[in-house]
Amino acid sequence: MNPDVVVIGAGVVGACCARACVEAGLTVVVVDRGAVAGGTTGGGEGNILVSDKEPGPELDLALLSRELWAQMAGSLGDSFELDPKGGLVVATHQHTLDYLLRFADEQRACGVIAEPVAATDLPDHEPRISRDLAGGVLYPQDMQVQPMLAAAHIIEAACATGRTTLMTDCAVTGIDVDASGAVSGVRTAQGVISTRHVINAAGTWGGEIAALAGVELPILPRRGFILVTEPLPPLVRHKVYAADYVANVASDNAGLETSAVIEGTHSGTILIGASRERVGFDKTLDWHVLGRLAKQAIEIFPLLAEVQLLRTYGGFRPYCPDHLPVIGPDPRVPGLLHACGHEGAGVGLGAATGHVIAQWITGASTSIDLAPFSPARFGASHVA
Amino acid sequence: MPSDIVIVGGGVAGIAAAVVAARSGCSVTLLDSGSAVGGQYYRGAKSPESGSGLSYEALRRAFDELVVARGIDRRLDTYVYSLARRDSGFVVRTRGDDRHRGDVDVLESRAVVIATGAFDKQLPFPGWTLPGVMSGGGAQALVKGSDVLPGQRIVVAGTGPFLLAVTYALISAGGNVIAVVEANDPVGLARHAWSVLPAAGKSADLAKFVTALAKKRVPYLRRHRVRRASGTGHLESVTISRVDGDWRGIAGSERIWECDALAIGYGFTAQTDLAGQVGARMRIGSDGGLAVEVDERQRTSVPALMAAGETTGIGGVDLARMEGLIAGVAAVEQCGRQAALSDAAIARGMRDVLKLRRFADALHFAFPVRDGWRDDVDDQTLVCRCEEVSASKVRGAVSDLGARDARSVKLLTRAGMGWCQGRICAPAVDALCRFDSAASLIGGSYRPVAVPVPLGAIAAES
Repeated sequence: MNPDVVVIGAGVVGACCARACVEAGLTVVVVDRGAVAGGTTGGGEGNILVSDKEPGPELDLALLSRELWAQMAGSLGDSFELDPKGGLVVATHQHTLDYLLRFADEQRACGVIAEPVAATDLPDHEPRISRDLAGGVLYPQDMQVQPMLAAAHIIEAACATGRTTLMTDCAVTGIDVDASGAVSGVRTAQGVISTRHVINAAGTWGGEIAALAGVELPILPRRGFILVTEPLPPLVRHKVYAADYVANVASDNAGLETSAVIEGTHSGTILIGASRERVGFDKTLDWHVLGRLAKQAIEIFPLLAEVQLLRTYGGFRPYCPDHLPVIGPDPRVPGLLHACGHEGAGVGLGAATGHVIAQWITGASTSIDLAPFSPARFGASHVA
Repeated sequence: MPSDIVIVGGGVAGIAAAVVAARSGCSVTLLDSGSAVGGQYYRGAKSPESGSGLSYEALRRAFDELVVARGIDRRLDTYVYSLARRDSGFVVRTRGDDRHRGDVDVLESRAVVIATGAFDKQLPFPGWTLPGVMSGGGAQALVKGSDVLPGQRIVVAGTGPFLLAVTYALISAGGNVIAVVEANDPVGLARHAWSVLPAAGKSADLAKFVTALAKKRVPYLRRHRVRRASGTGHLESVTISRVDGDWRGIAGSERIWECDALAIGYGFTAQTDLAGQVGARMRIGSDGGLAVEVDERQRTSVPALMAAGETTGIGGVDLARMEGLIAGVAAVEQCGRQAALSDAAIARGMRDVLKLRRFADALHFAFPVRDGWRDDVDDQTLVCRCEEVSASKVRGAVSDLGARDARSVKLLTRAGMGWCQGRICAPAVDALCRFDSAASLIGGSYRPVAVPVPLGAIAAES
C-alpha cells in the first residue's frame, strides 16, 4: 500500500480531509484505532456555526466551511441531515444584550449575517421561548448536521471513488521518517503504509499522534455533556443559545462553565448543551453539571421543565491554549500535517480544514492564510 | 439521613436481602418501581400459601413485619435513575412514577444491593411488531397481573421451560393455547438438565406444568419455530416450520396457523444498568447475555456493591432468593455488623447458590438460542422498534458505513436511541451484525440515565 496521503482519524475532520484530497486527485488511506466517528465526532451536536466566532482567522475559516458544507450536502444527496436552521442567540439581561449587539456589529463587518431581534419579536422566531428575555440576534447562516452520518457518508463517498481505503480498528503505532527527517510511512496494527504525507486528524488525541512523529502539540481535552430529551413534536426551530456561551468558549477557566445551547433534531429529540470542564479524560457523570444545563435551558424554554431527560452523552473537545485549531504543515517533520484541535468546532470547521490541507499538499495556494493555525506557533520543541 | 443499605428491587432477591439486613440491625431502604413488592415472579400473588423457613411466603411475612418493627423504609412506585459512588458509599437518585412527576430524591448509603431482575429477551422476525405478538413474560404478566387473556387462540413459542410456565398460567386462566412451539429438542439435549432437576428441587414445578398441558391436550412441538407473524393491523396467523439444530428452517415444512395471540420467549436479559453506571465488572452468562459479575458472597467488583437475582445471570426464583440472602449478609458485613444468620445457614445458602447456578447453566445449555433465527430477518424487519430502524439499515451501517460495534451502529442508525435505550434491540443488533458479543454488549450497555427523569427535577439539583 503506497497512498499519497494517510489520514489518521475517521472523525468528521479526517473524513473532510480524505474527501478534499481525493477531489484534488490524490490517493488516500484513512486509519482509525476504532470505528468511524467513534471519538469526539460521535460525542457532539454537529454544529456548523458562524454565530459564536469572533472576527479573526477562525471566523474566516467558518464562513468558508459553511459554503463547502452546503456544496457537500448537495453532492452527497443530503445523507447527513444538513439543516440550515439558523441560530438564535438570546440574552437574559440588558447588559449581556448590549455586549451581544456590539459583538454582532463586529461580525457583520466581516460578512456574517446577524439580525438583532427585539424581546417582543423573539416569539415570532421561537414561539415557545421565554417571555422574560432581554432580546437576541438571529444568525441565518448557522447550520446543523448529524455528525456521525456526515463522517460516515463522506468517507463512504471517498471510498466509492476507488481512491480511498478505510481501515478501522487499526491503531497507529508509529510514524516513520527517512534520512532527511521527512515522513516515509505510517506503522499500524495492520502493517506499514508507505506514504509521503500524514494528516493528523486525531482530534483530542492529536497530541499523541504528534508525539509518534517526535513533536509536541499542546492539545488537551475539555469535557462536555449533552442532555437528550424524549422525542417530541417540533418545539425548537433554531439552534438557540444564551449569549454567555460565546464568552465561555473563549474562556481560559479550567473550572466548570455552562451555558444553555438548545436545539431540536430530525428525530424529535431536543439536545441541550453545553458544559466545559478541564478534567482530563474523566467520563464520570456529574449530575450537578447536568442540573445546571437543565436549569439554564428551562430559563430559555420554560416548557422543558416538564420534558423527560432520556439519556446523556459526553465527549472531549480538543483544545489548544489559544483556542485556535492546528491546521497545516509541521515545519519540524516534512510531510506531517495537522488538522486537529478544533475544540468544539470540528464539524463546523472540518470542511474548510480538509479543503486547505488538500490545497497545501497539491501545491495550490490556500484559500485561507494558514499562518494563524500553524503548529509552528507553539515553538519548535521536539519530544525527547 | 443516609441508610446503611439501599436495596434496589423488591422482588424475591431484594426482599431476602432486606430481611437479613434489617434483622441484623442495619437501617434499610428498599426501592421498587412496582406498586407492591414481589417482583415479576410474585406479581399480584394473592393468597400466600403457608410457608416456612426460607420460602417466599415466610420471607414476605418477615419483611412486612420488619417494615413496622425495624422501620424498613419501603418506597414503592419509585424508580432509580442513577447510582453513583461518593466517598466510601453511594448516592442513589430516584424519581416517583408518572403520578408523581418531578418527585426526585437523592439518597445516600454505605452499601447497595442491586436486585433489579431481568426482562424478556426479544428477537426480531418478520411481523414481530404486530399487535397480538408479545413476549412470554408480557403474556404471563397480563394473566397474572390483570387477569386478562391475550387472545382467543394463543400460540406460545420460543425456547426454554419458561414456555411451559407461560402456558400453564394461560390455561389456568381458561386460555386456549393451540400449541407450544419449542425450537430446541429438550429430549435429546436436556439429559444433563433433567439429571440435575431433582437436586435443584425443580421436578415438582415441571410435573405440574406437564400434567396441565397433557390434561388440556396442548400439542408440544419440538424443533419447530415461528418464522413469521402475519395480519392486517393485528396478528391473524403465524407461519411455523421445522428447524434444524441451528434453528434454520427446513424447506417444505412450513404450516400456517390462524391465531390472534403469540407469546414468544427466548429467555431473559439481566437488568444491569445501575451496576454499569458505577463500572461494575460484567460477564457473559451461560445464556450468552450480559450479567453482573459477583463473588461467592454476591459482591461485585465495586466495593460495597452487592448484586443478587437475575441481575447476576438468569437463574430463576429459587436462586434469586438464595442470592438475596447472601447479598444481605455481605451488605451487613460491609456495614461492620454481624449478620443475624448462623455461619452454618450462610454456608448452606452459598452451597445452594452454587447448586442452583449449575442447574441454571444446564438449562441454558439445553435450551440455547441458535443462530438460525437471523436468516429469517429480512430487510424490512424492524430491529429497533422505538426508532423504527430496519434490519437493512443496521446491516448497511456495517457493510457501507464502517460501523464496528453496537455503539457505532447506534450512532449511525439510531438503533437503541429511543425510549428503551437499546435494552430490547441491543442483543439483536449485536447478533445480526455478528459483533464479538462480549465487548460489544458491554460497550453498548452503558446507560447513564436508567429511567427517564423530568428536566425540571434534575434542575433542582444544580
